[in-house]
Amino acid sequence: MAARGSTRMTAVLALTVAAVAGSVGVAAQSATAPALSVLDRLEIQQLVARYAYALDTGGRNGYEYADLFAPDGVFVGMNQGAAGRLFRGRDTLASLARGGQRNPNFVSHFITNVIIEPTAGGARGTQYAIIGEIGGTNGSKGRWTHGGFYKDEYVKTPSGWRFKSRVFHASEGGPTPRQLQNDPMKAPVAPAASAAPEPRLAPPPPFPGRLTAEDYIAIQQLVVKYPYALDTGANKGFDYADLFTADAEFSRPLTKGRDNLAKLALDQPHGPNYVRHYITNHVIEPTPDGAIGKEYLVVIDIGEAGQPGSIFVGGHYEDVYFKTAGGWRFKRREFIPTRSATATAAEVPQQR
Amino acid sequence: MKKYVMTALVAGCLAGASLWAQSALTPQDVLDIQALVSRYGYVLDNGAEGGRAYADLFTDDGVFASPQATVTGREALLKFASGHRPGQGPAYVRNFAMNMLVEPAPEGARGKVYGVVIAIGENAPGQQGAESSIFTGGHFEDVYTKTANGWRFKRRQFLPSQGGPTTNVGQPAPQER
Repeated sequence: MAARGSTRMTAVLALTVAAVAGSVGVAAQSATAPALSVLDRLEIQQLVARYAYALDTGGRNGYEYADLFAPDGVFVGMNQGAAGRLFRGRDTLASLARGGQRNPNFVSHFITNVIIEPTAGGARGTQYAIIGEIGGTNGSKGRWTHGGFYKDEYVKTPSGWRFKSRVFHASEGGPTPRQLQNDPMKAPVAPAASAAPEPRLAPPPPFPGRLTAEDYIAIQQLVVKYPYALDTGANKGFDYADLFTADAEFSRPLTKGRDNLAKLALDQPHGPNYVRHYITNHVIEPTPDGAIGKEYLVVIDIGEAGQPGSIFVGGHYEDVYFKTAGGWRFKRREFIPTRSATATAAEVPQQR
Repeated sequence: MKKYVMTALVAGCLAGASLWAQSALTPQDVLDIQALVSRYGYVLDNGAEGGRAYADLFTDDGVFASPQATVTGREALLKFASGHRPGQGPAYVRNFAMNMLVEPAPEGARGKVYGVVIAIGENAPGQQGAESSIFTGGHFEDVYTKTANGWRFKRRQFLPSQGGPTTNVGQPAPQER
């Protein structure tokens, strides 16, 4: 787990002063605010990424989501009701991540444009979110249902960084948006939810401190190179193939070997300015042999010549990374299409 | 802090190996550049400070280029972003950035970023169902320079996506991967 893996990092570096902070909805940092270390910032990135998985999968009956918040943490949806709605307490927060279309392979919240800044009490941040019903089959024409931005306060607890508050504002055009007229912390409080059955907590990862800040950044960059290599088909597909170890495999379709991986890349639509694979919500965890990770993917067919774009397919990747002499590489990458609970239930009779 | 050196470069990014060692990026540099790139969407969408927040992301001689225009220098950038876009405001969300690739370069760093512009449907309180649409998308090619005020865009070019299924006639059908 990133939070645990960071504890040995000792370097604390001054954060570049964010001259434009006020313009992005995050107040400029205080001159007295303590600096955030590189690992602090990476851990908060990981917290933000984990939020999407916890909310979309409903892991541990919603408690995986609730446990991303500090014990006194709150979520406020400013798009709910006339003055927003505030959710407080572990059981109440868990109830937000339960039911609906949730299941282990459901993806909906694509979170990006992450900004993190230090404060006297910890850190604050903001991100964009686009939320959709993403089809899990080719050309299923998923749709974006809503979107907006989060504004967060983070606090460092003994278990790692957690949300002290997280406020969602739906996108609202114009100079005086309704949702910004009220104080989120004074929003009407949602009724408290009762405790629900809670599956046993998974044991913590036993490999703290196995990844350095350099490792996290290098793995991030490996994952980021993937869509460029695939969508451009550069170097006859070998830019794509060379992101993998010599013995690596890609799961869908099952492909092994450098030449076959290069061919896989060339079999896709591609071009020097072609973009299609949008990847975000990258979680990284150390393992004895290297690291594992997961990310959300949405494949967007961008409209050309003024035509609207569409969602082609979406889901998530599950990766195994290995550090070679040439740097971090994919040892295995699996794409798992998104599944709604409704679709999964409908498929049960067919499986029998 | 130990220097972080990327292990691969886009061909042509560097003029020579001697420059390579000089331009190593620390994790802090990469995180700061990620933050710069992330801010771009916010300032473009909210039009803050009459465009000044947008111009502040660039060096004084910074350049933004797209197929429609090339904008050079602080005054031109400020004018470019000064509230002429419909919907701009403090809660407006439209420009999403993903796949932030950062690499060392003689100028400091270079990067590529996927962008997608989504026109998010707005619902009245308690309502749902407003349609959203994908307006456009493509990628940015950036040059970053570290100034006294932190990392800034020295040049940012937007390249709309080209070669999609509508123009890939004769190419194999898209598949999951």
